[in-house]
Amino acid sequence: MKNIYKYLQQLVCITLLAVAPGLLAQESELQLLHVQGQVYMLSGADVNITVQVGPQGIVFVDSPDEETIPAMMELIRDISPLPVLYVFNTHLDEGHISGNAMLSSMGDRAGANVFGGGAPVTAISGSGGGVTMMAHENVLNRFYLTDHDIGRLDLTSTYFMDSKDVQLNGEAVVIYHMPNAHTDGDSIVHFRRSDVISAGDIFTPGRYPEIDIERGGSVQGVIEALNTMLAMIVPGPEAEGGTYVVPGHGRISDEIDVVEYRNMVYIVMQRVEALIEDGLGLREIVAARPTLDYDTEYGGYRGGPTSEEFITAIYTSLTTAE
Amino acid sequence: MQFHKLVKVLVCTTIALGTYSATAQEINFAGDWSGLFHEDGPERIPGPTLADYAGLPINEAARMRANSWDPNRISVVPELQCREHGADYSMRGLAHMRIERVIDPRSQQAIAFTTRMNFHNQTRTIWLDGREHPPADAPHTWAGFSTAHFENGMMVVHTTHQKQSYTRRNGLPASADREFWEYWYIHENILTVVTVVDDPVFYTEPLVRSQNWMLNPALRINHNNCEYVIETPVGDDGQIVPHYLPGENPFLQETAETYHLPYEGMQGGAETMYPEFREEMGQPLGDNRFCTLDCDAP
Repeated sequence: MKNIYKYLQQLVCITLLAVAPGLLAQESELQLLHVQGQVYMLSGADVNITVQVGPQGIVFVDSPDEETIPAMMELIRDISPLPVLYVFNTHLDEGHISGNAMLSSMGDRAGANVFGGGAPVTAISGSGGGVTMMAHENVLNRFYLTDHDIGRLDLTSTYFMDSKDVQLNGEAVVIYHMPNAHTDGDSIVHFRRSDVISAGDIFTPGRYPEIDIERGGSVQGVIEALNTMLAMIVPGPEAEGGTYVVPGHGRISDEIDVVEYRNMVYIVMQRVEALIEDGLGLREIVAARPTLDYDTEYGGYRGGPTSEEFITAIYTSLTTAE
Repeated sequence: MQFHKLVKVLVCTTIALGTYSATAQEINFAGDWSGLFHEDGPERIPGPTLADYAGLPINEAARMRANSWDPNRISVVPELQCREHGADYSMRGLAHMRIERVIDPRSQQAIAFTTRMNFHNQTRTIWLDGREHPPADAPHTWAGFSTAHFENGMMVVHTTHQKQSYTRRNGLPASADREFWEYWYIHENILTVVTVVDDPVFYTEPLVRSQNWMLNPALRINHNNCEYVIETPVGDDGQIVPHYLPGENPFLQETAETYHLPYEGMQGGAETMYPEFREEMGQPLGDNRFCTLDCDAP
């Protein structure tokens, strides 16, 4: 009887231990998930990759590491045999641009839309495959000015205004600059007919936002960018569906997911701001645990910044703001 | 301690039922069911009071989240106005329910049940055809994704992929990582559903509750329309997301004071689920103005 009791106790423990962490575990298997319309999300790589597939070719938002690309293309080949047409980079993080060189060789419009003339430079190299590689001007500037450890960027084009639009695969695609958010070169990409927004690292459900102060990011910019996205999103009935959002990391989302995320960033920012006004320094603010109620949801279990890194970024944003 | 006993019973039951699964009989739940609210009526109708989390196995993160919640948020953040309940909460809420059985036209076998509740037209599909749950990064919905099988006179439902929502309508959160299991069974004209919700983000133990419905052929489920409106662009102090800073919510003790209850107990936690908590729950706040029975009892 005692043995059965012990056995049951062990079984209970094993069951509980097996269930709880499993809920937080992320699947690492590479999967191509249909989002809506012509847009898919590659899940299971280090970052999410947005893929648009249509009669002209394949469009990517961000590029995974080169080791992932063959497996990714194998999944995409199930739905399209066409060449790569266009690559948008949402920002300058190696995880989001490291496949640029490989993808740029997978087009079939050699020599098209290349400025830089195909010269063998590392930032604007000109796509040998005729693929347009697009990012905000600040991505290029950062690459030259501060990010000397990144080997290649392979852009063929940049934009420097608030937005730029282009027709791809029969739908309007608009890339918007989100100033001083995760970095100073962030973009979001709106596939208008498919009604999908690719958000890059401005929105990462389940992880605190990584605010890259060194590259011009700020908490105020993140909130502004999330509010801008919310203004663009039209929800479906009962606040579900409608415009979908592909985050830089995490699950496919819709308006309410962005709202909850924006609320979290805003509330924590206001708490840190109040503690600064009370005269506390950074170390004391971290010790006050202003993210306590968000840590079990966002605090690094799925990667991304720790609560201390998030608080530090907010503190720096607020104390260096003009 | 009670919880461990309960889990042991559940495990034993699960093991025992597993041996009968091959002979499990399908049950037809189709019909119109009126919700019965004799369990926890004040929580469900009209709804919980502020800062009342008693008897819920929440962690300190959930408690702090709820204590900083300002009801004005629903007015100022219009996107929150048309939310459905989460599937787990909807079984607890003001839930009259229509259940329909989906029959595969070729095999004439039941492949799913659909449920519909009138609050925000909440619909849900419970799949019986053995399909897999979606990948983790697939979109989450209010209803989540439910699969079920029959065991020893019960339908056992497993639901994942719910959106972040609430455990109670007083700001007590429920995460998008939660899963829940349901045990559906019928006695004559009464449907009982026992729910076991496991939220690794906000609970320290699973939350086990039961709900009942009565078969009511005269029931009608109405259509419900919702379109959000901006009621006020910002809240107090210009907040775009109304909330209370830690320690500044003036209403936290209101319920304890009104009903002469110990504040520590109202703040919830797994320990408040068990009778042993009475030994250590502290002194009640306020006077005894609403008491009508055993008012001098300790």
